[in-house]
Amino acid sequence: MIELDHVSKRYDGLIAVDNVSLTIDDGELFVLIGPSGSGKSTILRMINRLMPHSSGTIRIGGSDITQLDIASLRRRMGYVIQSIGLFPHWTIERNVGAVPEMLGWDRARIAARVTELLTLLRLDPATVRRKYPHQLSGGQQQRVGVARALAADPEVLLMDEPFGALDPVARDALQIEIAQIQRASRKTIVFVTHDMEEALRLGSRIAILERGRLVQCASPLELLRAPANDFVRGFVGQDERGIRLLSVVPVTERLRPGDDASGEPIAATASLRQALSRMIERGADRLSVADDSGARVGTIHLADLVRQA
Amino acid sequence: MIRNRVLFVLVLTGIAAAFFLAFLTHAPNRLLTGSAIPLSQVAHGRLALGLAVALPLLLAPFPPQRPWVHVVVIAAAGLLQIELVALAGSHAADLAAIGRPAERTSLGGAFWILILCAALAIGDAQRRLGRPFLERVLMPIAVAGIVAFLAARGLLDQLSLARELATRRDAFLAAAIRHVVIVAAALLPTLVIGVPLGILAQRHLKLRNRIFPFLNIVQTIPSIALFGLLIGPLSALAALSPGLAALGISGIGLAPAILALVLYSLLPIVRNTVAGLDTVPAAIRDAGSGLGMTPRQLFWRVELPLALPVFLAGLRITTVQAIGLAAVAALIGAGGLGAIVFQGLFANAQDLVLLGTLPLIALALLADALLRLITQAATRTEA
Amino acid sequence: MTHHSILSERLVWITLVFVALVLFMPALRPIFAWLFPALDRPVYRLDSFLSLTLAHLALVAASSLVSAIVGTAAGIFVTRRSGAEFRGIVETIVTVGQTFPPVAVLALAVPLIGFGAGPALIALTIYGLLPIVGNTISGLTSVPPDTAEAARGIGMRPGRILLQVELPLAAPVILAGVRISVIINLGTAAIASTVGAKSLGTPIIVGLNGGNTAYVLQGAILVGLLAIITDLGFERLVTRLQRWRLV
Repeated sequence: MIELDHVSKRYDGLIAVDNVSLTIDDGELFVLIGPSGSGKSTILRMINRLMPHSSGTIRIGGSDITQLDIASLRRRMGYVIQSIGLFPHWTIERNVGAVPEMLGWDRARIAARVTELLTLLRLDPATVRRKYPHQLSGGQQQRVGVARALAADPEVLLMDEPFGALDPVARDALQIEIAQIQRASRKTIVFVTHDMEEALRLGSRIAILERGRLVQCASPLELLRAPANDFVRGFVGQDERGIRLLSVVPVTERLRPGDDASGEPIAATASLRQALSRMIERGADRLSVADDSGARVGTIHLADLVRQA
Repeated sequence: MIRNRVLFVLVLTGIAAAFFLAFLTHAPNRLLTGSAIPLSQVAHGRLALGLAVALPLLLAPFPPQRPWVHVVVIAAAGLLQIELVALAGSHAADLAAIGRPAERTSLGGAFWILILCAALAIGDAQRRLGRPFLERVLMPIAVAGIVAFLAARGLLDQLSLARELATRRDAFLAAAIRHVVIVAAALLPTLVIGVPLGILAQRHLKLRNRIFPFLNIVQTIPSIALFGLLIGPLSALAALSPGLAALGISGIGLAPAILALVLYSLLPIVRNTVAGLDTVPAAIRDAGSGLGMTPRQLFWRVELPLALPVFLAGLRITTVQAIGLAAVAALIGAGGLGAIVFQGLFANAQDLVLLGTLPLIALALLADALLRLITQAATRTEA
Repeated sequence: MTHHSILSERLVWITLVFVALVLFMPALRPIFAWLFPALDRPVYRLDSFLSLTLAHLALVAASSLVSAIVGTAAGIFVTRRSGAEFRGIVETIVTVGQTFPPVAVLALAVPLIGFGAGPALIALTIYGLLPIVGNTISGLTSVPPDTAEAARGIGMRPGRILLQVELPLAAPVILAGVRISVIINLGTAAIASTVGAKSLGTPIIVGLNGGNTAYVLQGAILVGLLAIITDLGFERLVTRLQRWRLV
């Protein structure tokens, strides 16, 4: 658990973060979002003490971070940044193994861990491990960046606009990857972004910041249903809000029993938005829904999509 | 609390030098090593004035570093330099009044280190004030001007350096002029050859790949070796062709010196011409052509002005380097300030060494400052 | 790879020529006698070329070693937070100091210290510091801030960041500074024979003073070869340090 208790950050007479209190639960994918200058990255960097906070208390697992050894604190947290920051003079193997090496793991264990992580991030360990960062594409490099952050199995992953510099295809793929890794490992992830689409897609809870102040902290659904003020309303997208609402609700929420639709079924994990898209594509007003094993579990109707959420 | 550690270190260094090193040395004649005279002895009786200048510097590291503190440091350090020169001059005059004519009073280690610390204090304070380069040279010019005034009034005449100069004023002036002439005579052909070569090399990769390895090797060979290597071929040439010999081409003297200087100077000139032209973005070239400029117009109106700052930086490096190399050329009989330096070194006459070395350094610094100003002016008009 | 082997071959054979000349210069007496028929003694015999070479190398190695250690340390110090205040003044000294002609620094050492190898050693060390300090500063400051930030972010301590990230990335630039410094020192050490230090410059100075062009040529060839060998050696070292950039 990460707790921010009345935390502020002032520098050069400016208030970058203004009296923010937050609690991030274990296993959560917590998104910090806001326009540039809102203090979202500053909050992230205060959690691993890359920046000292000016007042208030930050606790991780109940202990005040200022009481912890700074390097060990950081080794407990994976850190991924937009510019990736791989060490250009080290092979991918050594980059990924950087933290385990510092923790004194033996070679064989590091090598095995590198293989495991590269595989997890869909990179071919055999060819990639001996390469240098500049030999990889941007998307591949950020996969290595994520692998490096995960290497010593940290309690927390801090991600600072990690996919901001990637092309849409690579970004899409990595978002799916991160969501899967989070679901499988139940790691706590604190994720900074300025992209609402990304926040709604990934976040279990989203904190919206404006000029250093916390405006609203809620689940994606709550955020879309009940924006706290005009700023949030504007930020979640006035015209897109309905569509975005659909994208955060799974089809299972509106399922009708029985299977009266024809054609290929849609997955139970799909969102209402995906269902709507499929209906438009097929010119159909209903779809059957199947679970992971392929068994049909019910039907989703167009009328139910537009029902007030 | 120490709020300016740089100044604090300089002050400590100055104090240590003042206590442990000789401020002046006094010798029975110009070739013997003198006995040390500490600053305390020289400043005796002038304590009030000395403290008035030194005290602000001693205190300045401690208060909050506001702009006025830096201004005080600059003024005090400048005054300290003048004060030190005046002290040395007047003490030398006092000693000369009671001693024999052959006796020499020379400047000691403490004098030089104090002058250096004061200069560094001025530089640091100016940097903290953040003034432009042009204003930064004002204080050194003012100090140099006042020292020159003191010298002109005859107040420094009894210092050994001045006495050495007095006995060979004509030779010194001739050497200084010859030094400048050698450098100019080398730079002119360098520019005439180097700039077109650079322009061609920038356009033709093959040429570039052929000339740079050669020029790099030339730069690698130490100057004294290159001078030495040129003696043989040139003297052979002179022996074969009496006409050349009549023109003054021989193994020893001006010809190998200038030839070697040109070879050395080509690398920075060609390299920076190429680098300067390389800085012109392809988009700007395209835009110029798109506007309908002819290649000639494009070169004169777009490429040349944009390449100028980098080229001028190359010219500055070349000039400063040539001033130093011309001093080594004295070893093969080219003359110039180096001749005075080596004459002093071979004769173990330290004042003579300084008489050659100090103007040599001054010349290099002056050329550097001047070309920096020109570069800045050129950059500003383009900005 | 072929580029590599050609380079190493060139380095090897130039070194062989140099060593052969150092050891067997007297054997070339007939050639020099033929080239300079007017000279009674066409080969420099006052010292063996081996002892001159060793003296020359010792002078350069000792001064460059001290310069490299002190210069890198100074460059590291002023790029840390604790030494940042001194960076301006150090950069000023580096810039202004490099304007000084090497000969002038050598000559200034004499009035302060006296004649012999001592002042030469000190002048070479001080002058050799300047390019190393300058390049260490520019090398360390050119390390991408993101890389340093990532290193801190994954929990590297400052000492490890310096040793494993900053210095390796700055190494080519620092080494370029050492290369400039050593090449300048090789030349200045030759001139140092004018202040009484023995070096390969000694035959040149003796030859120039005594009108013996053969001596000048012998010294000049060896000094020139030594500089070229050193430069090629550094070139190989730089290539090796940057191998990761080339794959």
